[in-house]
This record gives sequence, structure tokens and C-alpha cells, in this order.
Amino acid sequence: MGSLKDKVVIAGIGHSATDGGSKFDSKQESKLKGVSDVQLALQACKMAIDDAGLASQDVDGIGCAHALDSAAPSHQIALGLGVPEISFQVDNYAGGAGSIAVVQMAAAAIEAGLARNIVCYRAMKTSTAGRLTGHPRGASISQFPDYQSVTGEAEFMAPFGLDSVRMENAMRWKRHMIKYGTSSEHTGAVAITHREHAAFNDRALARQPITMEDYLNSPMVVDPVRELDICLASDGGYAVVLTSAESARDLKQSPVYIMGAAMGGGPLPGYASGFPAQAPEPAEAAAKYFSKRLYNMADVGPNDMDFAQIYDCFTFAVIYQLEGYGFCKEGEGGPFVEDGRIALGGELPVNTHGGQLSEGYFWSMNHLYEAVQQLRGHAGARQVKDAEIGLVTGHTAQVGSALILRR
Amino acid sequence: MEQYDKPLPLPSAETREFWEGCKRGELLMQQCADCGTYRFFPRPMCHVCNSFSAEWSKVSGRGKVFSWVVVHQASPAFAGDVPYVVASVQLSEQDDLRIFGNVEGCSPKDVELNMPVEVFFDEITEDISLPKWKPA
Repeated sequence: MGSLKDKVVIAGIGHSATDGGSKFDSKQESKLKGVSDVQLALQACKMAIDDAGLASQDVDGIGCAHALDSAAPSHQIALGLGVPEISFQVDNYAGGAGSIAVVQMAAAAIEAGLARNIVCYRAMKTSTAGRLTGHPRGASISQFPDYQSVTGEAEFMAPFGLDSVRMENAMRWKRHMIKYGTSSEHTGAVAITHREHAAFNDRALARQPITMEDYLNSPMVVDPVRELDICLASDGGYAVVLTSAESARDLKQSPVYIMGAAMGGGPLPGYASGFPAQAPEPAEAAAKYFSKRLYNMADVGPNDMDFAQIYDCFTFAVIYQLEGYGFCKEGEGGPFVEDGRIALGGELPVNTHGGQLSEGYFWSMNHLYEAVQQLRGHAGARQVKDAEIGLVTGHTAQVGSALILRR
Repeated sequence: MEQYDKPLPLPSAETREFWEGCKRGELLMQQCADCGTYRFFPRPMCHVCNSFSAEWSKVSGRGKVFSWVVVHQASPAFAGDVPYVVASVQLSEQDDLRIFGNVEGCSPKDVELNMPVEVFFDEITEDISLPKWKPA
């Protein structure tokens, strides 16, 4: 079996202007309301290309992660940038698992000689599109006449008021809580730690510190999920530029190498994002099915990670993944997040930028940005000392994708 | 009658039999005609033996709560129903055969893991009856 180890690098990183709310359903109007997702994607891509020391004319590949809510498709980015000749193009419709997966596809394409310099991005507008609330498939007829009838998988969900990602995920989490005794204090510790990290990050959209009392008093949305368990509703885009290790030598930044890459999940992954159709146990983390492949390619283990930027659509997604990526045993993710273990200065700093819970919901392309900053030593007040190797993940509940990076 | 203001299924070729069954007060599940494995949601191929042939079998309508949530903040169509329960019900015919539905007929706080439930059909329109669950 082939390997991507040390063949491809992240040469540039970028982001657009960002804005959004500190609650899952932003009540404040985003200042980016009138800005298109395509513009946000272009801002991020342009900054990443500049950061790499390249010109748009050097780009010959585009990788887009998207979902139906907010697309900014690759052809519009190629058009906007003025890419002269395109050699690689993918629009991956795979939810939160799709963004890191796109970076892997791009890396594999570079290694295979399909393209030289590929820009990968995710731009989305959730503060105004309201993806996390008022989902059309659950909207009232009077509000959204077109959604009076639902078809396909939604036929068996929306008519019962099961109409959002958080409900499906709450159902999974309920089983984890019962099976392993995971508690609200565990998810609370995750929420608090993310907010602590956000305090050191100017880009973070939610920087107000929270206490355990604040967390426990946070209104229930879908019991057992509180408002503070849910990622932000935000607008913006993040991008990276990939190139081969060989061509990176001539570029502006010190390269960050891809050591390991893997994606996948278990049997019968099921619909939407939350609850498996017929999978054996939804309390299991998808990562357990592919983390061995990931570490094998990188030839390192969980103990070698100086940090982990973990996809955090919900607080408990972090706990699942700490188990799935082998930082602790299955069912022990709750206790693992206690006592500052995942905080800056702790044993395994997690989401040093504040993650999607506190920086912004950008499908962990912002996690990748942060990982590169950490490995370049550019993370300022939140710099993990001597950071050499780190993990970045992208996940839905049932499938995921991950990279191990090194400086 | 006040207009029903919530989403309703629009049956397709793949799901029509299910909804026809509900209308008659029968819970039907797709079952592989070759190996007998049940599957849900409806889909064209058996995930165990890859057979395309299937039949719709009437099941007992009994099961247990596999997981559940209590919705406190709902989308507009369901805002008047909070708090309401949505459960994943594991049917007694096969361990991994699960269906979503509301649990009614008990307080949301009385729902628990593995609670036995049975189906009832909520007649919404002439064409659609929704399968829901109550304590058995």
C-alpha cells in the first residue's frame, strides 16, 4: 500500500473576514449578511495563495468541501481567481467529514502527479442561513410552503419533529451517557476550555468566559444538549494551499508536512449526520475504524501529538474523538477532559484557537489553519511550546477524516 | 379543521407501501425475500446479501426505546409541542431494526432506555397516518 507520508505540504493558509453569533442561533445580525459565500471563499483562497508566495496563476487545482446550505462551488472559485488551466477539481458533499477529506484527496492528487498547487477551502454562512435552527425540513408550512411535503429519508424524521442535526446527535450522546456514565460536567469542561482558548484568539467570535454554573444553567435545546454544547453560527471561509514537498523548498513559508492521512467509518453509516441506520452501536466513534491506518502511515502514535484540533460541532464530538483517536479508551473520554488535560498547558491541548464552539463554525478548516500556525510557531499567546506534531480532524457522527501534520 | 402545519411525507415508489400500511393501521417493514433480513429506511438492496428482491412484511408493532431526546427548543412547525419526545425504537423482530417516532401517552421525564413501547397510528390526513409510540 502506498503512503503520503512527507510527500505533500501545506504551503499557505488563509481566511476571510468572519462574523457570527455566540449562540447556536445568532440573534445579532452578522456584518457579513450581504457578502456571498463565494466572496468569502475567494478572500480565504487569495490570502492562502499569497501566504504561500504563489500567484493565482500558479494554482492548477481546486478542492471544495460543501453541503447544500452553502456551496461556493469550485468552478466559481477557479473563475474568480483566474486559474489559467485546471488539472484537479473536486466538490465533496460530505458534511463536516468532507473538509479534511478534500485536503487528503488533493494531497493524493499532487503525489500522483495530477496537479501541482491545489487550493482547498470551505466557506459557509450559518449565521444568516440558520442551518442549525429553522431547518427547512422542519419549518412550518406557512413559513416555507415548499416544505409541506418531505421525501426520502426525511419522510421518516421530519413529520415527528426530528428535524435538526442536533437532535440526531443528542440521541447518540444519550446512549454514551447511559452506557459510560458520561455527565453534563464532562461536556461542560469541554465548553469551558474552548472558551478559555478563544480568549487568546482575536478571530474568535465567542470570547466571553463561561463557568460550570453558566454551562449547567445554559438552556436545554434538546435534552441532554444545551445551548453551550452547540457550535457557533458564523459566516466566513478558510483555505489552504498544498504543494509537493519538493516544490515547497522555493516558497515563502516553512512547510508543514502531511505525515498521515485517513478517512472512513464503520458499517452502515446511515443518513444525515447523526444516527446510524442499522449500525451496531451509535455511541462508538467513527475514528476507531481508521485511526490505526492514520497512525500507521505517520509512524507515530497518539502520545506523540503535541496538540489535537478536533472537529467540535458539539462538545461531545470532542469526547467521542478522544476515544476514537486512541487518546483514551472507549467510554473514558468524559473523565479525560477533566482537570485541564485538554487545556493549553495540559497534557493534550485541544482546539487551541477555541474551535467551532468558540472561534467559528468552518468545518474545521479553521482547525487546519490553527494547526499550521502552531507548527510554524506563529500562534502567539496560545502557542503550544515546541509544537512539532499535531492532529486535525473533520467529522460527522458516523464518518470522519483526519491528518497528522509536522513542522 | 385547522390546517395541519407540519411537514408530511410525500411517498415515493420506494416508500409508498410503508405509508399505505400505516393508513390501514399496519406497520410494514421491508424484508429481504432471499435472506430474510429486515431493513429500514426503505432502500433498494439488502445490505447483507445484496438481493434486490424484497417484500413488505407486517411486524408486531412492539419494540423498546433504543435512545431518545426531549425537544425543548423546536423549529417553528413544532414550537407549540415542546417539550416533546422523539425516540429511536428498536423493533422486536430484529436487534438493529429501528424507526424514529414520537413517544406519547407518558410524561417526557418517564421515558427511559429499553422502555417497552407499542405503535399507534395518528391519522393526520386522508392519506397519511403517522406511526407513533406509547408505553406498552
